[in-house]
Amino acid sequence: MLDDLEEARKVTPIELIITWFSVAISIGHFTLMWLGDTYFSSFGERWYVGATVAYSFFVVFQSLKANCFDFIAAGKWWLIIPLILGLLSFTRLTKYRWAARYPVAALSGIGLGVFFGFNIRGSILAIITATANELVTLQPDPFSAIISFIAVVCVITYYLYSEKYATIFHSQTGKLYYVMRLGRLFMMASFGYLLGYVSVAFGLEILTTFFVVVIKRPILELLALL
Amino acid sequence: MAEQWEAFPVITRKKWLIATVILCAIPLVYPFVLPIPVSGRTQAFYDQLAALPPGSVLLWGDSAADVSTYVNAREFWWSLWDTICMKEIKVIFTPWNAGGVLCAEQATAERDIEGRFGYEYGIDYVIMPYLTGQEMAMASIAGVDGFLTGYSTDNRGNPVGTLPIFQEVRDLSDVDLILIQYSATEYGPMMIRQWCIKWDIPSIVIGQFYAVGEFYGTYVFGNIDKMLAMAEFEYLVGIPGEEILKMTMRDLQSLLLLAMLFVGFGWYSVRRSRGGEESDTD
Repeated sequence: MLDDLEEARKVTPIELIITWFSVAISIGHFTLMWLGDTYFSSFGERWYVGATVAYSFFVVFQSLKANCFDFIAAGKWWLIIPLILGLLSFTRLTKYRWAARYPVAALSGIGLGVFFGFNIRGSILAIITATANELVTLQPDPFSAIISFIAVVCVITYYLYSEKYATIFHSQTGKLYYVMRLGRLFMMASFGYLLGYVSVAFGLEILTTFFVVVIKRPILELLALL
Repeated sequence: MAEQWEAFPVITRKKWLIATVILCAIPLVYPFVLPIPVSGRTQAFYDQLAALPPGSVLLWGDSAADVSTYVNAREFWWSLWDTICMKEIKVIFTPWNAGGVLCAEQATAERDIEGRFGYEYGIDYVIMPYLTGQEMAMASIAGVDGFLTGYSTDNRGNPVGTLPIFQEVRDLSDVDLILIQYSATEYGPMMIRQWCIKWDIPSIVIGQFYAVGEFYGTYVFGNIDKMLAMAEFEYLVGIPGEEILKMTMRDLQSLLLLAMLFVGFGWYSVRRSRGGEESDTD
């Protein structure tokens, strides 16, 4: 099986030429750090930008073809309406820029409609049910179930903005002031965990990924060529 | 930032960087693996895949930002494709960014899933084209007969009506599990809203946990969160890849970082207990 895989992964001469060309423009791009802005580094930069734009343009055209032009050609003429609506976005570049408001309005309205119902069901109702269920069944363990229920209740009090009903939580003389304070502590613990996790993970992964992708792989592939 | 470390003035920023680079290089020269305990969310991710009987249908929604996502973690992708193919699971790959198309085509070609696992394009797996429109486009394929009405062709230009897989899988009601992959965090909740909530289908996620944490246990039942979990997955399925090596390198870096933190705290505590000058951080 591994032999088959090696066979499948053998590169063709064209792929090899493209790879070496990529290596050359990558090295050129990297020289920006030591040699500054030179023709060599600019060449790499412009190749990257140009290739990315060309590829994206091609893929977006394919996308339009797959879910718009093909359907229109197959007889779904009413799809011309959203196509025209989309094209109106470009009127922003002309003196008829007011027309660009129609696609924005349509996108906002349809987007909100598509989003709203499922968001209430998934992000509000399902979570209330799950929190209540965990408290009743004491799952995944009694401590977690109770602490998460307390955290949910306390954090919600932090976001009560009604002067009439929230003063007891937000005023320092309020009877339930410390419930809001506890909610704030839960949030700080949550944000601290997230920031630490994401920052440390990102920071440490950049160097390791650089070592593996930019150093290890090319060396091994060059050794394999020899 | 100070050029010198107060607790240990002989260690400068430059020396710290050199030490970090050397620590990273050690596993490259002498590869070794530190123990990798598999976390609950990674185990759950695998269990969801393992529980699918052969012939089940997996809808894979991919919005990983660009091609570099695949390049940086390609051996994790390989281990995932191998695991899916060994379970004989049918895959409908739907990319939600321009790079996803290329990643799927390249991963399936590099792993040679047709030669090694006998997969047939159009029957056992299919790669769809990128659809613009984000959540509205996701909603468009979530209707009745959504795969047939939302797409006209697959990524290779074959009309969807001619692909055998879509004779039996016409919409999301025929899907058994959804795999959601993202790096732009708003895409995960979009797919959960339009697919999982609408059709009540369980999902597993490759992406940062905090973006879908609210759905965990209700619609999401497994998560691969960045390099650590990728290494755990490779270790769990027995297909070791570069992520395990990267984790060893990262562990060594973390060790240095923690050691410096402990020394710094110790130095600060001793100095303070002796009544020395307080630092700027007080």
